[in-house]
Amino acid sequence: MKKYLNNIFNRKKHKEGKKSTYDFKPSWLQNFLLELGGLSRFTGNFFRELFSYPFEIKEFLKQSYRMGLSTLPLIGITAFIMGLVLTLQSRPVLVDFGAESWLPGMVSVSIVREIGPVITALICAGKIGSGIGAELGSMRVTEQIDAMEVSGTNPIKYLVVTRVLATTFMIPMLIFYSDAISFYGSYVAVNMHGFISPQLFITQAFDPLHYFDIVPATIKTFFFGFAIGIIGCYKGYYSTNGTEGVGRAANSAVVISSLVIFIIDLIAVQLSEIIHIFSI
Amino acid sequence: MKNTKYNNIKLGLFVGLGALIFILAIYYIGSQSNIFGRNFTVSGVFNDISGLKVGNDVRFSGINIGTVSKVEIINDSLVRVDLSVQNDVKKFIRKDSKMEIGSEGLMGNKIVNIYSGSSNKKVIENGDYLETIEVINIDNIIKQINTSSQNTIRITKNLAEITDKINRGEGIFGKIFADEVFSKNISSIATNTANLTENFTSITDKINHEKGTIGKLLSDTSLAKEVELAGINLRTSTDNLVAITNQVKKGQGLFGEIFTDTTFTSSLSKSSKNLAYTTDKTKTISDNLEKLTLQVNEGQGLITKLLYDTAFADSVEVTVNSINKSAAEIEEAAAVIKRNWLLRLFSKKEKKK
Repeated sequence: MKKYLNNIFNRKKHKEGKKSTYDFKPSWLQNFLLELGGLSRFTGNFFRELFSYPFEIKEFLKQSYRMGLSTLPLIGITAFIMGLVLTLQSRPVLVDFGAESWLPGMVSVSIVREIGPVITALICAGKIGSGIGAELGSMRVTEQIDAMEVSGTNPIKYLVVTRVLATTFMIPMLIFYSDAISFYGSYVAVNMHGFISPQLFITQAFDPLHYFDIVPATIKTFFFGFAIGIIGCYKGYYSTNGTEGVGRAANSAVVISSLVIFIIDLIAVQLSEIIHIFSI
Repeated sequence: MKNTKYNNIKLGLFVGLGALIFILAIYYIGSQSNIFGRNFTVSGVFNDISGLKVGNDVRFSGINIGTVSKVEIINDSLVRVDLSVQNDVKKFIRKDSKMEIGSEGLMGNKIVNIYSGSSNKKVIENGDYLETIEVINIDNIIKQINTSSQNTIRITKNLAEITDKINRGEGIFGKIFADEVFSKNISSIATNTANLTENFTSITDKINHEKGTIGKLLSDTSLAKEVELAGINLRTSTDNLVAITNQVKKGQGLFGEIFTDTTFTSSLSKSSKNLAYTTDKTKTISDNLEKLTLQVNEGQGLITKLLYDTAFADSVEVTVNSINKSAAEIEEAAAVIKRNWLLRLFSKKEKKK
């Protein structure tokens, strides 16, 4: 198989015969496929360990606390600013059209459907993803993971499953908070240019929202959380080259999980469109 | 250990609040879409639903009371729309209520408006069909606007032509604006009209002050009585006339016979013919007489001699005398003959016969 792959992707070098198989340096495509394959195998291991006894509940709760509650202040501030800025930026355009009353509705749709989940997931990728990558990377470099294996503790079950589950469940929670705080930011921004009662704001904000907005947006947040957790763990778990490798693992965990968040978002939008069309 | 417990409580609070936010949002959206709570279904059939979708609002007197639950094509020209409406408003919708597809503003979503029916009708049941009012299609309105604009173009074109003509002094309006003579005439007409109205004012003043016939007519009661009497007389006359005409109609009297009796009319026509003949003859006679008198005047003929010639008159006198004489002689002779026996004989025979 390896020979076959070499023949396909490294044919030129192979033909020239300048480099032996021991000096094999993968091309970008090979690298990508290697990463994809490794990640898939790692995900498989995660699911295998997920449904096997015993469950590391305490570690899961600990990680949930670290990832969820400790990230809330950061998410809260960004979400408040996000709602405020989005409302203030959208307002002049709607005022030009004489549609100022649509401002809460427009902001709520954009926050619930897109901006809230994606921005929160990106912040979480930066904070949580990099944290997982660095933590597991340093554990790998300092051979703590090897020590775990030797001592009979399943490192994937203890380190990976708990963290991935924690991100999968905590990021949606953070996104709910983020949406709510963004609404509050938007309410403050609307009230900067005139008074509107909280009840009217809530009514106007929820009026254009339907299940087709909130359900796909919620479902995709679980995938965002899962992607952040599994990529961070994968990158940290398989980090190499000492402390330099730890930094690289943390960095690539953030970069790849951010990219994957956008890819998942794209797929989610397309799927929800198709479901919406078929539901009619 | 204590710290972990405390952290777990905080985590529980965090997750609980997050879940609450989500559930509240779901419930709020659901309550707006009438997913929770008891609903009933009402349907309507349209030819064209103008882009109405499942989930669009249903309004009754401007209040959201439900949503569109299903849109289904029944056949090539009809679309059935099912509405999920709150049970609370069921009592207000009657069997003869109507539904119409409207829109929220110019760019807004489509909505279904239900209009209230008459209070003496029964309340609607689950699954009932309501009468529908067809949608006013925007395309048709645009077509009509297009036609109107074309007409406007034509009108403005015509107006431009008219104003051109006026500027050139053509037509009556052109004369008004350009022809000085015409305008002078108009001005004199206006002056005359002013005079006329002045006169009319003085007349009406007179009438008001009970001067003149019309003034009297309008204000004098005795004249009015006379007029009334005249009117009564006129009425009596017309009544009589009616009676006469009735008699004529029935064939009574001379005129009745004239108009109704056919034998009379035929004899009348004969008489008239005879009269015509007689008049003809009379005319001939008069002509002849005229000729005769002309001849007499000119001294021609016997009569003229008789009238004017004295010698002839003397001779006539002599002749008449001699005739008288002869006649006396003849009378004597006749008496002699009568007495003759021979002649008596014949006369006796005659007696015997």
